[in-house]
Amino acid sequence: MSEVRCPMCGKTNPEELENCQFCQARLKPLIAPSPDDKPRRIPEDVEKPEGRESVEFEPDTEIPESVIPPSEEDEGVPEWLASIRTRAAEEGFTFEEEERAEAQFEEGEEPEWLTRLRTKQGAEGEVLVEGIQPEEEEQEAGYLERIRVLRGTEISESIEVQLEEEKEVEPEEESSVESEIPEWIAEDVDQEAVVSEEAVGEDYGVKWLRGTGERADYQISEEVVEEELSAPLEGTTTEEIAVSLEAEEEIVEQRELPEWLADFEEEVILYEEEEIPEGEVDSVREAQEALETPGTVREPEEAKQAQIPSKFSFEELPDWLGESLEEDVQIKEPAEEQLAEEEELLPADLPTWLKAMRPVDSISATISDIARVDEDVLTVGPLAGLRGVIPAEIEVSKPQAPPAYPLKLRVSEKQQEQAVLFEQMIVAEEEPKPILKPKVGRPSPIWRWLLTLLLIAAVLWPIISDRQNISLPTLPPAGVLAASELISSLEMNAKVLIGFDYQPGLSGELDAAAQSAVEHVLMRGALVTLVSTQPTGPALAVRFFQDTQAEYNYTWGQRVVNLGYIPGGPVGLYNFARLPQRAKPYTVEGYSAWGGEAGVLAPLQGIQQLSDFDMVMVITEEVDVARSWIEQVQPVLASTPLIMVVSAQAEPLIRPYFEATPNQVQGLVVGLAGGAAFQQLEESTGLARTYWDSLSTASLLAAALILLGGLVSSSLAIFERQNQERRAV
Amino acid sequence: MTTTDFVWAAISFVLTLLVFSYLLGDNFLFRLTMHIFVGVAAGYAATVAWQQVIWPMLLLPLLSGSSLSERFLAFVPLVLSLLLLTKLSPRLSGWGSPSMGYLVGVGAAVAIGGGVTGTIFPQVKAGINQFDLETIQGGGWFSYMINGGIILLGTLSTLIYFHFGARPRRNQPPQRHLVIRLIAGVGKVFIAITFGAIFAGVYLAALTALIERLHFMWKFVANFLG
Repeated sequence: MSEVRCPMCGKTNPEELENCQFCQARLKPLIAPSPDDKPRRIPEDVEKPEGRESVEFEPDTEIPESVIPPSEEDEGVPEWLASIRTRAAEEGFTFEEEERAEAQFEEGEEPEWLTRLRTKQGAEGEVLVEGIQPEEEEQEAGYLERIRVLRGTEISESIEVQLEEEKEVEPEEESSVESEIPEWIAEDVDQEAVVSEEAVGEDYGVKWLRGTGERADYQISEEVVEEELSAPLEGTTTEEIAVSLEAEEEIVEQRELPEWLADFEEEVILYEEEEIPEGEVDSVREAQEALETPGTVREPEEAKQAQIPSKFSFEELPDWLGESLEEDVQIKEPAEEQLAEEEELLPADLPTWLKAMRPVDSISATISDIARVDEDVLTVGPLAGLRGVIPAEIEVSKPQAPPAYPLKLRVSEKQQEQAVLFEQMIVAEEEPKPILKPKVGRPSPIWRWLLTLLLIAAVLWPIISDRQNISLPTLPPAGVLAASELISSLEMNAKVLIGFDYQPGLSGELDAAAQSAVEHVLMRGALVTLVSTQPTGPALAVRFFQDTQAEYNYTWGQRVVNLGYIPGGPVGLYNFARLPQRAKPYTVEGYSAWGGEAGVLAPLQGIQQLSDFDMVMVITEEVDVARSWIEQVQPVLASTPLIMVVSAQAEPLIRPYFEATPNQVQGLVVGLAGGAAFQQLEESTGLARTYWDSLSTASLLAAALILLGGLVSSSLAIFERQNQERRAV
Repeated sequence: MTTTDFVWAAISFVLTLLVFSYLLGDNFLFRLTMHIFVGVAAGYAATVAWQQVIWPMLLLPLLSGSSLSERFLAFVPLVLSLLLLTKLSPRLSGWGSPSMGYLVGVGAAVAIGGGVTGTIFPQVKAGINQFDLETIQGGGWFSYMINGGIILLGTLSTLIYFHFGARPRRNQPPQRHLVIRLIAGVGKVFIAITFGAIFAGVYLAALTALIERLHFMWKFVANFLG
């Protein structure tokens, strides 16, 4: 059974129906095409829709016979036209009247019914289209709107205006305007005009239409119907058809549908529910959603598959439309075959490095992140309600529940054994080891008291026994010999400068060491000047002379002058060596040493600088003080000899100055031994002799203890090592 | 022995015994004696400084200077001394910096100058002269050469011992060159001998001081006992 597709709603109808059972549009043309008409040509400047590759309308292609209605001349008056004429006759309308009305129209006269209608409209103050009621006007506008949507262009709108204008324009002007319109647009205008007239005239017949200036262009011919049927199909695919139909349905739904159209809609719904199988509901829904979604891109094949099963199955399509679609499908087949061949191709074997460079995962993750961010709608703040706002706080700062990990470990027995061994190793390392206290070399109190008693006994025994059994050194050191010779070379009233630069703590050693040397100087009749760089030096010097040189009965200020303390250490010595008069102008007693009322003191007469002294003797126990005298004073002494009487602890560092060539210290007396040697050399008595036995005994005891202690320690170490070796064995 | 001498001798005897109490360990008597010594020494030093330095060398020229130049010259150390006293106050310590700078500068210059001209140059010259045959008086040049060689070896080896430069080695701690180590070993011997000599000298000095103190105490006891 062949079917005819409605040019308005696009739905199929049985071939015998004249009007669409859905939209009541006429399915068959009212006027048969004239024999002179040729098949319609598609204008060259009309752009073909994309994706349409195969539908190339051949200019010489003839319209299928099924589409072309039979002509009146061949078959006579069709049934529908006969019904119209019957209806017109029933209403008292004859073709003679029609011809007369046309003549009146051409002559500028209006028919009676039109005049009546205009009078009525003028009374209502409304501007209506001639002969059209308000409801009818809305229906007509609705049809025009539907046509506009179907065409998808604004040309119909302009044509609509043009149509309204043309009704009032003189025929001559119309021809001039029409001549300016391109041919293909004119054809479209004709089509729309025919369709609109067809729709309008469906209810009102063509009586008024013919009476209002019917023109050749307005005549509903078979060609127009053909174009109306083919225009939506030509240059478009079934997908576009479906889109246009969906849009049309939406527009119809939004409008206030007339009663007859509402019934039609219900029928359509019932029809669709009946026609769509259950298995195809989803596909239809997806296709509808895809069509409703703006910007959705879907392959034509997919859209076709989604739409065809419901509404455009080949079985339901008319023959002529089915053939065109089959051609389309046949043309599409090579492309599908090509796609199938492409799908059958094996995937490329990409190298590993290239696979690693593919940013598929990162891109997908980024896209998902962006989508997730877009889903976030800000709920607070001035930007509340906005979507896709970059959050002020990063995701990391937000409190999140810690991930839950399974507590059960999946380890093998071997791994468990290794873990146990590792744990045992750690436990062994964590055990605290006792710290062995190092052996302190400090002797026990008993040993300390024992050594102290031994040393005191060795010192006191010679003193208590008052025996001097140990002889003095018979070979005096070189320093003592040199000092003795220098002192022996002093002339009478020679001026000797003696520096008492030692601390009271070591006065016992230095007093004994210097006693014989100073006594020798005094024996030579020298005039002595005393100075010191230590605050305690002047007092020690006085005590020295009082205790050791009392027998010489020196008078202070006459043969011995005590200039006292020289402040500033090396700097004071430097100053005193260059300017002794400025450095020490007064004696310890407060007298002017260099030129008071009593004149210059005898020991300082003729002394302008230190080189004027005949000898300089320094008694010190500190290496630094001795070095200061050598470095600051000795360079300015010139030929004046410098004799050092130093403590035994300073000897190792002072002796190089005496041993040097040329020597910076001409005589050196070291400690109690030096004093004893000097005393032995001078064949005198004194403290050195008194202390010598004690010193010798204590030194011998100390040497014996050091040697014995060393032997004992070595023996103990050897025994301990042997014991360890035995234990080890 | 006069009473004064007896009193001072008794005080010295007691203080000596208190110092010897250190044999029993650190105790109050020993610390008391130390405080007495420190206090007496500081008081005596201050007295000496006033009597022998400040009054005769600073104030006396200012008050009774024979000439204006003498007074002016005495004014300079007075100002520097007063500025130095500002070091006692943290707020005014900056004022004493010129005096401190003068002391440090002059002291360093004198010490370094004296060390270079009074120790380094003469000692280097003496080391060189050990091998000067012209300076050798009489015979025995061989012994001079041996003596000079020992001194030179001791000096060089001791200086090399204090050379701690070493090359890094792979997977081993840095170590000095073998030659350096050998010479440094010789220098260590010389250094040990030097320290032994110093220790012996210190021991002898301390032993002599002990002998003097024990001799004093025995004499005091002998005189006291009659």
